[in-house]
Amino acid sequence: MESQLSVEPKSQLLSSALSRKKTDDATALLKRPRIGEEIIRYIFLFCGAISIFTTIGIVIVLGQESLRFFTVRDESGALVATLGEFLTTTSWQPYRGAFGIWPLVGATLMTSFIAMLVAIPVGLSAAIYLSEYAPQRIRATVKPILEILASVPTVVFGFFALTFAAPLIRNIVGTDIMPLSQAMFPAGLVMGFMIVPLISSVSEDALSAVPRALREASFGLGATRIETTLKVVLPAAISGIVAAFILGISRAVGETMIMAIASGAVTKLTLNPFEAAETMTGHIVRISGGELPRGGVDYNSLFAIGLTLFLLTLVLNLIARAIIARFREAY
Amino acid sequence: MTKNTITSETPLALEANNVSIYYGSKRAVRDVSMKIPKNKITAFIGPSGCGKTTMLKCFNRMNDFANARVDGEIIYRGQNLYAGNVDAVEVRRRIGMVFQKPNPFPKSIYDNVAYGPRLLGVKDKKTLDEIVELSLKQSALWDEVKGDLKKSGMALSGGQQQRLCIARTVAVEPEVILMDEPCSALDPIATQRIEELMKELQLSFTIVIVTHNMQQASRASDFTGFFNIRKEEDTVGKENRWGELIEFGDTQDMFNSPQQQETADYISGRFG
Amino acid sequence: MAVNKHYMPDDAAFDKNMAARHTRGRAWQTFFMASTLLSLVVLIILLLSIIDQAFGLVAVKYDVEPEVLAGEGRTLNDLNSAELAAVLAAPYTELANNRETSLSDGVLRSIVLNGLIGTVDPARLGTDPLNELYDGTYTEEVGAKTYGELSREDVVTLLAENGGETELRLEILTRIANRRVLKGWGLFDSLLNRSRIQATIAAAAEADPPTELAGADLEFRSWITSSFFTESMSRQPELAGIRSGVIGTLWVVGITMLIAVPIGVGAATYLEEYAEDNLFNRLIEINIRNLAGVPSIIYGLLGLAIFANAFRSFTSGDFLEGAGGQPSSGNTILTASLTMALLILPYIIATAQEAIRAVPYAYREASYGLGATQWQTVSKQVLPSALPGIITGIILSLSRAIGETAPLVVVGAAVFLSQDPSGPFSQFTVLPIQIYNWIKESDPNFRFTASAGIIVLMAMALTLNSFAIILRNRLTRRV
Repeated sequence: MESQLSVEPKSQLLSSALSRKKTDDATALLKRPRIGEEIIRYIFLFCGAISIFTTIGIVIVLGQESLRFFTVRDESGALVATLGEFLTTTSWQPYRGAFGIWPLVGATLMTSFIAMLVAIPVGLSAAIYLSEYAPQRIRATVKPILEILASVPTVVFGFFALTFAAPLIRNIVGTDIMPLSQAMFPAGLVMGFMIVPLISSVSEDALSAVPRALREASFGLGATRIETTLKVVLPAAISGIVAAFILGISRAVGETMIMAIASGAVTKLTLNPFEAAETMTGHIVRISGGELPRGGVDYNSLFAIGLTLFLLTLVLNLIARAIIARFREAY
Repeated sequence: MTKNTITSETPLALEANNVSIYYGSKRAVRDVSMKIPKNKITAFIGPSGCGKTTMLKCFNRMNDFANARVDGEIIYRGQNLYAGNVDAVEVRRRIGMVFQKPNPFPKSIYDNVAYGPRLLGVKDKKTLDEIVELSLKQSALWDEVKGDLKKSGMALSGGQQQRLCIARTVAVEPEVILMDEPCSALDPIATQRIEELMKELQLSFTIVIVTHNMQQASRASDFTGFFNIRKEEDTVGKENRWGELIEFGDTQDMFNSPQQQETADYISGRFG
Repeated sequence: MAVNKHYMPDDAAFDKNMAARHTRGRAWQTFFMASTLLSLVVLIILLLSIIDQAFGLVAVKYDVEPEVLAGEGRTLNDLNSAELAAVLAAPYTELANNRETSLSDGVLRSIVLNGLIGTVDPARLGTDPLNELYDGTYTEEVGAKTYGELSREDVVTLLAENGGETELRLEILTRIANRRVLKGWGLFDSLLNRSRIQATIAAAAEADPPTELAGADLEFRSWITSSFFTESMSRQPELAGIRSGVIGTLWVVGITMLIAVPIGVGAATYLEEYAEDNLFNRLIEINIRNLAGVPSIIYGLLGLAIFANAFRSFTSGDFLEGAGGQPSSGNTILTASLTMALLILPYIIATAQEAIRAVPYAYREASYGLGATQWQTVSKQVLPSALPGIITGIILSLSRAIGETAPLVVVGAAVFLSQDPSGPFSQFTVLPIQIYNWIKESDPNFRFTASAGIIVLMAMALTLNSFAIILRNRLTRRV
């Protein structure tokens, strides 16, 4: 067959441009030390390892300063705060030498619980609505709005809780029940809405991961959309959704500014959500807001509280990730 | 039609000696020995999973990325490519590859072709212009794109993209061009153009092509190697599969009078 | 033989049941939609409540009415610098007690010092003539005098020639008129209940004895003004501004990005392109995921202990000056930036990893096939292709960093700054912390200032976020 291509003979342009040794030389194939490549590799490795330094740093700092907290002695030689006292007593009054963690932990748990009462139903509903019902147009409007909600700085939520939510609730329940303008209930409520986008997006991922085939099978049997959602899709996605809840709780436990502004500045162990009580995070911010002398008991106590907080959120996060990993395997 | 034979005088581009390829503990290819002559087109054929692509990727050390372990030798210019002191990067410059699905970079046509030379340090614009033009002419794409070299490489048709990839490969002046089913993603007309192109490229390069299209192999190649799957049940009842080279020789011979019954069966379409 | 036993309900029962199922379905659907709507509604209420508290009527009182100072039928805004300077020196009558007085010579000189001369070594004021302290318009005779020798007339001429109208007006309002905001109302209140508010003020005047609001003027005020951006801390809500906060935020976020972006992108590149699948590298990945879930305040504690205290000589800048002298504080912008960098690092790494993973393997394959080294492939193919996604992630981290408050409070943001932050070793505050301080203030009028600050903060964060979202949509459409 006559070729219509115009053919050029093989060129030597490249070789001459590089004025290279003739490539017949077998040594040209041998490994040459590419130092640049090695250096770059180690630079990147170092960048990756910085995260490990961070974790080690956190563990060391929290551990060391907490240790100091539990071993410092006052003038009479007695321990100012012991681990036993920390974990078992129910009063945190530093100037009286009382260092029981439970008021702070209690307030943290209460506010997180209240937040979850809001965040779970609203977040899950939003996820179900967006994933199973909403037409594309509505999804395209609602999702950005949820993203905006997620990007509001927490100071703003705190301000909203203090200046709008708290007075509103006070008007509803009366000043007998809620005497102060700070209380766990409005703080927890507003925090709940802050967490809604997190729960909504993780739950939505879980719902979308359920194969279409399952839904189609259910519809094929004559089920309505809600029956399919509640009886087929939701159970299939349950582990992802539970993981979302746990992540939400972890977020609530670690939240600071809303608590510092709106939950209260008094350490008190109480089950009444309309009372003002300071959370772990709120306490750390309040105490460190002034000039802190290094090594004082107040300084050290912050780290003991921080350690508690860190362990609490760590456990929650590990559980959540284990659940997510397990559900990813299922599909 | 002159017969192609490999004698001790035939200049060879590549040689495989007792090559076995393993992925982890699983053997994919067993004991392949062959000679690839210079400036000829050699085709690898065989059913899916017979190891022909795995074998091909050994010749330019691309199998390294799949963590393959290679026993035996691949000789190029008197050097075993799998010796411990061989630089894979250097190997790939001299033994180029065109892939199954055209994969131009998300850059202009010019930058696609100039990528290789720039890697090697060519900076002078005039030289690069010459290299780009020459490479595009060698891959029969110049006339179609010379008007606008700044156009994105991804905006070309499938057949044009593959020719762009060929131009990119020849720009670094390799000795051997490996082609992994280069036409399987293209329509018949584009395929035909590439086959014509191969015949021209053969004058300057050695070509080894993997193809599942037997007609293509018999049309376009000088030598053919037929691979097939071997199976065996091991002691626990699990079935192991690997590929072996069944027959290698002049293409016309193999297609007209194959020496092995398996080859005849495959060629006549009885399986695969 | 056909099976003729039926277990499924007959038509009538089936229809009745179907109707019930549909009703239930619609009820649930409404519930889901309503819940979703609820979060939108809350967001809108939040925004409205912020806006509500950033604008509104204020009850203002003066010790001296500005109009009286300006003269017949004119307001202060009508006066030029020369006239304003004259007002500053002229005698005036205090409304409350009818006492006639005027600003002292020393006070007038201090206006020249603060407004014109600026910060200068106090020792020089006694010795150096004016022409060495300040470069402006004045006669030779005046220029030769020292600060203490300036007479009242000299001050008036100096201010008339060199003083800005806005600054002079502000001096009059604060020093003479002593404008005070007594009480403020929200926007909706002001628009809808104006008459009730006026009645409250009238009632205050008629009470016996008259309460504080008596005789106050009602003005409409936007708490975001140009002076809000130029002024800094103040004990009076209406004079407070966000200048230090904004400058601090820019410094902290700037240096944070300089640290976090290279490290983050580097770590992501390592994990996606260089790391083999071994225990060490898997540990790094797990570690990064965990760090993303650590509460931000823990990073504050880390920064406090390590950067502010242990590395104090580094972060305070002392290491640059050598030994000796008082040790400086470690609560600097550098400390804040290092802490923030660790905080946002997991997010930058995660988004960069996604962007790098999205680059098709085909590009890498083609590049290696041509004989490129790993770094050549990464730098010429992978990173350029991943760049838009990486940048989106960086911008999103930026908007998060702008709003972070808790870790910076812990790390030692200054409650009161004497000077604006001017470098990495300065004491610092950031905008969200300024807002937080205003919220904590007992004076209820600081709520309005806080709202104004929040609007600025959210505008910054929202702009960045929209930018990132638009960028992300632009990319996904192009591919």
